[in-house]
Amino acid sequence: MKHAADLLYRVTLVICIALFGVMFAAQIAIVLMRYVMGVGFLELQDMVTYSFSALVVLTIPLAAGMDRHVRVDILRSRFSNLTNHRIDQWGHVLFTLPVFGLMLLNAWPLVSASWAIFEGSRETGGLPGMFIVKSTVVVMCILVLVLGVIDFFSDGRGKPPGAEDAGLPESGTARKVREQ
Amino acid sequence: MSAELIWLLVMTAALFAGILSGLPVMLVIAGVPTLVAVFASFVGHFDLVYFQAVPQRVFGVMENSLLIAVPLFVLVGVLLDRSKQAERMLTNINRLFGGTKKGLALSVLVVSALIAASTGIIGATIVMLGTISLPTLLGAGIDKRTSSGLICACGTLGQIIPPSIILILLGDQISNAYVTAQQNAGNFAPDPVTVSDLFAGAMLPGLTLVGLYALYVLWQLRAKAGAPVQVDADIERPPKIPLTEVASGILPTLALIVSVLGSILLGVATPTEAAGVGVGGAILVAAAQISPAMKRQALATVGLALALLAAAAAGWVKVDFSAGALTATPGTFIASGLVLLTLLGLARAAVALTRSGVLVPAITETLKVSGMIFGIIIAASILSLVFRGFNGDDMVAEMMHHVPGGAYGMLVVTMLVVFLLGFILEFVEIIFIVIPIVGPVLLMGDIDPVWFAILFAMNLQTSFLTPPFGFALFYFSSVSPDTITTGDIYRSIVPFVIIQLLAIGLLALVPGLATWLPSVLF
Repeated sequence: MKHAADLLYRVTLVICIALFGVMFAAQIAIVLMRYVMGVGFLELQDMVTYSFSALVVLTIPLAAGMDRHVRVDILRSRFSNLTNHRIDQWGHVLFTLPVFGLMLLNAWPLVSASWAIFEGSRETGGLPGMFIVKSTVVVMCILVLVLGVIDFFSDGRGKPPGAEDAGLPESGTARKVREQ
Repeated sequence: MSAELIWLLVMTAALFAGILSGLPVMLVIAGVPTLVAVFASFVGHFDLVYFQAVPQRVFGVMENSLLIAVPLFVLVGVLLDRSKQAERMLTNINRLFGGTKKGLALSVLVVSALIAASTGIIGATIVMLGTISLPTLLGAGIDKRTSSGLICACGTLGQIIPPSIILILLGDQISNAYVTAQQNAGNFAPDPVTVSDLFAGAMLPGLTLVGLYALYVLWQLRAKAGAPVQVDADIERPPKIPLTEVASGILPTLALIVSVLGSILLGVATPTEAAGVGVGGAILVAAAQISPAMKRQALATVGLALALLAAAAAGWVKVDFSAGALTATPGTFIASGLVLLTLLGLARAAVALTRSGVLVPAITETLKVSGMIFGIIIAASILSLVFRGFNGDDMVAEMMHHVPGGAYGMLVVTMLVVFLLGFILEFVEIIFIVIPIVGPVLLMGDIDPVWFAILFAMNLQTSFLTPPFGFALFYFSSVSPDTITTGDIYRSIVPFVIIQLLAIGLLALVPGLATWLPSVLF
């Protein structure tokens, strides 16, 4: 179980890093070509948008796997690990399951409709493959649900899958509060 | 009391309970409304059909090209931090101004303002200032209260000094709310509000804050009458070093900041384009640290890019596209070859940076921060959907119209609510929850959207500084030595909170501070 979570996290991370690389490379190419030569390519613009779109949803399970979504730790820091794990378990049942379950259920028809016509770019002359980008929403829901189930059945003592990557500076989160 | 109102009250109470339980805020913001809606649907008070709009909203966030700038700017900050470039800038400016207490304190202020402009991540800035500047400040005999207060306050400057993430997100939400509000009021062609407007609008208020902090620190450290003046001699004078070395520590980062910010403010580039260039620049600056050879190569790449841009501005390399097809003149080939060379230079720098183990962890960190932000944006959209499903938007509009003082009364109430929310929520949640609810009502009148946005941002910044729940204070206490107690930190921040309130008051009375620069530039 722990291994499965680790593996999922690693694969998502590698995909996200690759997408980020593509997004940045295409963006810088766009800037150079536009400002130096005055030309633009819709395909490149779509490449940036597509990579970004996939990143928006795929980084969510990544942050979840890392336990990096913001928590308010005013009380959490005073509870025992076991209590906090129980709270997390309740959170998975009460919140993770309905939110991402409903999202999956409602996204499914939209995504399959997109596959049915092999939906392409909004712009004429853009890149094909919009249906793959839209599918990432389904992938995200499944990933979050699977990671949630794995965490639900864990004993709560293990580190989150990507914990070894966590280092200072931790930005934008309230985690510091917990570590006091 | 209507059934809807009761459900909304239940939802609000459950939201607070959920947030305090320590569950991820994103999960609570999405989960509580979902659960309440499901229960309400059992008794026929809510139609779950509303949830069919959720994937559409997710697609909407995915296709929002404005948000592309967010991960890029985050990476600029993380790279400058991880490659120790920000740290080098701090030590070098210390050397430049150092020697006296005032100089030291001011150098911390100047560096924070610059770092704020380049990263805009509160946590990272405070941790860095706390670990590097605090010992220097204390060692120079500046009392712990002034030092702690200064560092906490400076650390939050990144929220207000552009290019900041907070302003990008605000720009997105404010422009939506403004268009809706104006259309409801019967104006079908409102001037759009852009992120660049907000960046320009935040410049003067941000600099005013820096100025006020500086005045306070100078006043606090003034030579006390009758006190021996020899204190300065105690300070360990930094060893004399050649000016060129100081310059090489400061200039690259400074140039990067100026060019990114400048190109946005002058309207040359969009924030996304500027952010892309910012990442490229940060990669080159960071790679230049690896070896002298890499430094030469980075310089050559920058030089080539600048030369190309200059040549383009002079009209030498423009490709003739008017005929509808690329006409391959020798000039075109040379230009594309040089562009390719620039890209290769950048790629080599990126590879070198990956080998030295900086780039991949920096991108990983960026992805996590972005995931956190996007998660909250999506969660908040679920919350506002359910809120609307219970007619909460009409209730808020109704309530706001009963606030005495008209539009300005509403503004004051909104500001108070935001300030209080700032104690338990992060800025992303607050922006994406509050603006869609109050924005369309508030911006119907003649309240300037840019002015409102900057007031909002400054208000949030203040609330992060205010005890007992200020995020900035939490970050600081995690890196400060044990001799500085929580009580010390709380007391140290009071003067700065007063300065913040003064600045907010000033901005409230003189909207021109925020609206003048955008009106001149755009």
